[in-house]
Amino acid sequence: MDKPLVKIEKVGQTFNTKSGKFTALRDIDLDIREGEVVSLIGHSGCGKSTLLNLIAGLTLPSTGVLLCEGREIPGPGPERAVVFQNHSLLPWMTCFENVMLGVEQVFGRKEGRLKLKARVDAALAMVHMDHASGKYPHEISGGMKQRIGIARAFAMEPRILLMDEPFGALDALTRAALQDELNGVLGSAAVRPHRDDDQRSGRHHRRDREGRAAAPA
Amino acid sequence: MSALALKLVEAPAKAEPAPKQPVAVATERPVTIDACPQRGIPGGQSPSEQAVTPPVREGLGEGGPRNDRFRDLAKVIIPPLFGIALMLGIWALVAIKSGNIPGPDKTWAAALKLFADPFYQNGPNDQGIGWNVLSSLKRVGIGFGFAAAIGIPMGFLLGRFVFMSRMFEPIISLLRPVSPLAWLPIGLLVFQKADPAATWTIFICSIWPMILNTAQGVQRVPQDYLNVARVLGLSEAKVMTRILFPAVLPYMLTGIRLSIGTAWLVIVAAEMLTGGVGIGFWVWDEWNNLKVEHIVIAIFVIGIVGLVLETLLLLLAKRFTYESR
Repeated sequence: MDKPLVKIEKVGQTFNTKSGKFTALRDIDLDIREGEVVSLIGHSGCGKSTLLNLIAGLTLPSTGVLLCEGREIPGPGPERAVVFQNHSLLPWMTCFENVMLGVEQVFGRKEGRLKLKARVDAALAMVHMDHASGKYPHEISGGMKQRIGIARAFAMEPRILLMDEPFGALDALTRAALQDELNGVLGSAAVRPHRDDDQRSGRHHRRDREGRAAAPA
Repeated sequence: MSALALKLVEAPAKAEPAPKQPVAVATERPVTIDACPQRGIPGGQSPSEQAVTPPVREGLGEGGPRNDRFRDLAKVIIPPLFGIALMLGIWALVAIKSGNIPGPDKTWAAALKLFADPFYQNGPNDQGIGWNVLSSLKRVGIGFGFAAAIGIPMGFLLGRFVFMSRMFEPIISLLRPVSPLAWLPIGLLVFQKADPAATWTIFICSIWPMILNTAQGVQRVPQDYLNVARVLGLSEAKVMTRILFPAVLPYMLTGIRLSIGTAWLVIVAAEMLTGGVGIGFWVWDEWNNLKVEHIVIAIFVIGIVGLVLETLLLLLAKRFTYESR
């Protein structure tokens, strides 16, 4: 386990805004090894989500490189699953179908219908949502939606799980319960930016140094 | 508190509620019920307490919930009835004053006769009103069908590619305000026949709302959904069928509703010009026959058909609107 799963080298990100260039990230270096849980901590607006989006491949860096298993990250892919802050379930699909959408994409070529279904059911059971598999997202609570989002990400068996304040939109009680649950199921490496009260499940905390992470140019 | 309870005890004695201040009673009742959980108040009926009790609460009685339902129903039904009565009154008044315009009674009699056999056929120019409505609907259907077949894919292209939307924007902006009837001569010229020419005007008037609403829907697909699609690594085809299409569907249905609404407006005018069979032509024909009551009936029929179309499409839209949060 010497080689890092994700290697971030001298990554910088600038955005063009109306008031000129804005540097969100500068000279970020970070290695994430297999099995590691990394929390990104920093004040609001310091670039946590920006870094996460870069690892996810949703955006590409202005400078520097991001490597996943030795290859440059060209764009998003199912091996880097994302749990979005606002769950982002598709409202026209049931919970089952939402999870299935990802499973189908990753395993659909190799496996039969029954096997895929078993995978979805297992993922839903893992987050204790098997009872709601036929429900639509608007029929379940915010915490339940987030569980489905986590199930969707886990079901794809990603190499790394990226969570952008996954419980940020939830109340404190639900958040604590989900944190504990998440600790129970975490296997693969995960990166997630967190607010202070979310830190406790991260085994490694790394703080974006303010000067580097969020200095307006 | 005790004063309220006191009234509750009294209320059943005061037979049928039949309150004359419906609004006040409706708002006061919950308070009363909450405030007095059967606290008997054996002897505490001091005069002051009675004086405090607002007289409105006397409406409280056993028939409460049922009365509520009647009242709700009445609130929904009575105002429209007043509206219809007002319309009929004005109509009758105008009919009496003018002398030419048939009043409600005369029109009703004519309608009974007309709808006794709506589907007769005496040659191409004398058919029942049912056939006329159906052939108008058929034109609207065909014209709209072509408009949807072209307009929806166009809308997707315009919504997805900025270049396309910039390219077509001047054309659409220029042509959209033109009355579709202005296109009728072009249709006559190209198709050499009245019927396809009328359908052509329907096509023209239907296509703009279809394109614009679909394009807007595509542009408004939440970035979150597209991010999900990217992270899951969905193919273009899957993005189209599983994400874009369902997300755009409500906008498309709005486009369809606007299109059909306009088409139903336009078909009457188009048929007046082209002739043949159709409700618009029928109106003009009855004008030539000077059967004014039939024209009034036609106005109602056109209105009712439009209302039905609109309602059906609204129901359809409701079925496919998703609560996103």
